[in-house]
Amino acid sequence: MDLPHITHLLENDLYTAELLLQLLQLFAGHIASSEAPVHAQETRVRLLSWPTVLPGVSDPQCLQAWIAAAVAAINRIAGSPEVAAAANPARLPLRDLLPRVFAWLFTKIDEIRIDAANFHLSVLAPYLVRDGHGAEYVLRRALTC
Amino acid sequence: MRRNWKKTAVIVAGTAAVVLAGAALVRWRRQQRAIPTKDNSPVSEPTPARRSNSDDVSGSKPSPRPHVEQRGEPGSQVATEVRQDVAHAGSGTPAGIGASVTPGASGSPIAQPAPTIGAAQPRPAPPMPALAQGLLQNEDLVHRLVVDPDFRLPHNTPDPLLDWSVPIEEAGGTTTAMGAGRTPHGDAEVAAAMIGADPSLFSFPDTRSKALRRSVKFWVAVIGGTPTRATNHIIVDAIRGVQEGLAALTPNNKVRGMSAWSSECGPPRQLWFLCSKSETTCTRLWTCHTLPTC
Repeated sequence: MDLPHITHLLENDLYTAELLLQLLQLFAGHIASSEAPVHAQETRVRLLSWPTVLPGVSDPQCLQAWIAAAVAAINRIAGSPEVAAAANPARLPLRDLLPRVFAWLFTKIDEIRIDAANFHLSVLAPYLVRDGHGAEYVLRRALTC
Repeated sequence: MRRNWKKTAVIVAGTAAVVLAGAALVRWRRQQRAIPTKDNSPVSEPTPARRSNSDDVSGSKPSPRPHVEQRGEPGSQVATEVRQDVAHAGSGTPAGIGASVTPGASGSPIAQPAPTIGAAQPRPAPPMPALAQGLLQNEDLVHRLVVDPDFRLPHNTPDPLLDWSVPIEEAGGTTTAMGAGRTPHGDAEVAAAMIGADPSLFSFPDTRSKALRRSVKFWVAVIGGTPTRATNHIIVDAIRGVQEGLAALTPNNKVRGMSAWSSECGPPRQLWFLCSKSETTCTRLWTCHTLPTC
């Protein structure tokens, strides 16, 4: 990912909704592959318009429902930017999309990270409980505290 | 002359009979060795000495035992402890240890050499995950897990504004575009102050900033207005933060504890976070009222 290039596009108002869509595809694919199955069952549902937007994507079940709505919103703005600009001339259409995009991405990242941390805790907890390993450790730390 | 011929014939006939009988005997013995029977099979009954040893410990007749016990000294104390180790291992090993554990397998506790009978040998250390070794340095985490083994990090509540059907302006009503009348002490002000104070907002292990970046209102207030050079840099920083956050989720990532000084819970003290290897994402493991008193 060429961040200086993205910076250049943003500064010259050349960063379009299509580019944002490609970025979303990259990030959403990574999130979908890293997500825990228990959450995937909740979030991976049928998709509305993603396959028509991105011909390379053939499995709608692997995509997020939220992404589907985001893509639909992006398509509306990208298809008629003048309408979107007329509806709210004070803002760029892309700037209306980015807040939800970033908030959703960071929410999913934190969710996956917490799932991974909880898995590690579930591995560590039986060791601490077994034969009093954890109690001995806490006692030793308390005596030296 | 004739008598000599008869003697020679008798000797030759006797020798031939002896040779044929010997060959037949050898062939019969080879056939007997080739066919295993209950009496001469390789998996025979244990020797009388081993059987008596087992009977002395268990006090019962030899019974079909799990595979583990057929190795080394079946009735020794160490073998019993190994069985307990395997049975109590936290790796989900079922109670039927003979069915799931292979003696001599690498990495298995029972792969170690069998000690002598009667010697007070220390219990072999169970295999410990590499992650656990790192997490054991986090005393607060250990304390928390000892008190409550079922402790897990709570999940965050998603922002309801993530739903595209909810208008941002209608939810809350305090969010406005940048430079168009922000609330004096809202999240936007805090975010702007944090961005001005620390450009590495998206890699700083702070719960406040992490909570902010999951909020739609925060992003609306920061980048929702007229594009400027500052907002463009914020967008690029956010993309970089997402990129680094996704990179930290790789399977090779190791979670470890790290400390930081904070006065959030009273006097300045060293608090612990659970962080990724790249330290781009961290989570505090407790609230103020659950901090250990030591």
